[in-house]
Amino acid sequence: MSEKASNGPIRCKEARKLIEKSFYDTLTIPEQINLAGHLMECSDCRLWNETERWVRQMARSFFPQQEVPYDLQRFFHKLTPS
Amino acid sequence: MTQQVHYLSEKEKKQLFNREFLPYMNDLYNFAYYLTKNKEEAKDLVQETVMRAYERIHQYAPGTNAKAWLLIILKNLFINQYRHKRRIPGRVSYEEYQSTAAEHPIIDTEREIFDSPLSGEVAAAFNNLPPDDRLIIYLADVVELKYKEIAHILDIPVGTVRSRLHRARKALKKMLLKYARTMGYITDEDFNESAVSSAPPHQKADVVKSKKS
Repeated sequence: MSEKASNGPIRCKEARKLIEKSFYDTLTIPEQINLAGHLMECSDCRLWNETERWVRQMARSFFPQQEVPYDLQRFFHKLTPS
Repeated sequence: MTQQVHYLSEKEKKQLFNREFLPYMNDLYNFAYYLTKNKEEAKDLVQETVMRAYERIHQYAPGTNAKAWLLIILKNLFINQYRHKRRIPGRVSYEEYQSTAAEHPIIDTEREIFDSPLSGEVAAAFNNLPPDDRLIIYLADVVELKYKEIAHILDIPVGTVRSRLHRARKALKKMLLKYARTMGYITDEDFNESAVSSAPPHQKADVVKSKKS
């Protein structure tokens, strides 16, 4: 099924669904166009988008990602020597 | 189309392991640390997971989601170890582990001092979340799994993932925005319902109008 950018402007509810989707999946081109169009004219959704991104950033800072310790890396290399 | 790998030689298994699994070792280690809250235990858990994955590599369909597959093995091993440690002859459910986790917040002193750049109030916002919600936030925002993968790992429906994530984000956002406002990072104008709720206020008004008419 081919997707097209909608004729009329999308509503906030759809826009927020697309924003949410953009965090865990890639948006299709029509979806990107629709979302960009909506964000240009809706300050509420722009703000919502920014706060969503900010919360995600905070979540990442709260759970800092660490590198695998050296001894564990050695274990992987022992398991699968090249 | 994916294929099972029963016929792979030892060399091919190693290649498959290096190609598909090795890139996710950081995620695996961090998830193990999230669950165990201890570096040594996390290392042991990852080692065991990797050994188990390698032994059962024939069950993995190349090209499918290696990250989710590894995380499921790790989670199951962790639950088994947890049961073993408790030395309870009966069953220990994942929910039971989650309720225990509620009593022991995720932040340990070492992490709080050296790792987390966040202030106490922000950390408290995360610790105030129920453990189920915190785990879903972690899997979605930090490990960057798709809803379907989270559902698969936690063995719950996708709809439940969606609703829990929505609830958790809303609660978190409310707490964080309140903090940002008290600290003066945002103005009162910024702090309005539309920044928190996924249902825009003017659309709620539309619904009321249409009901009246």
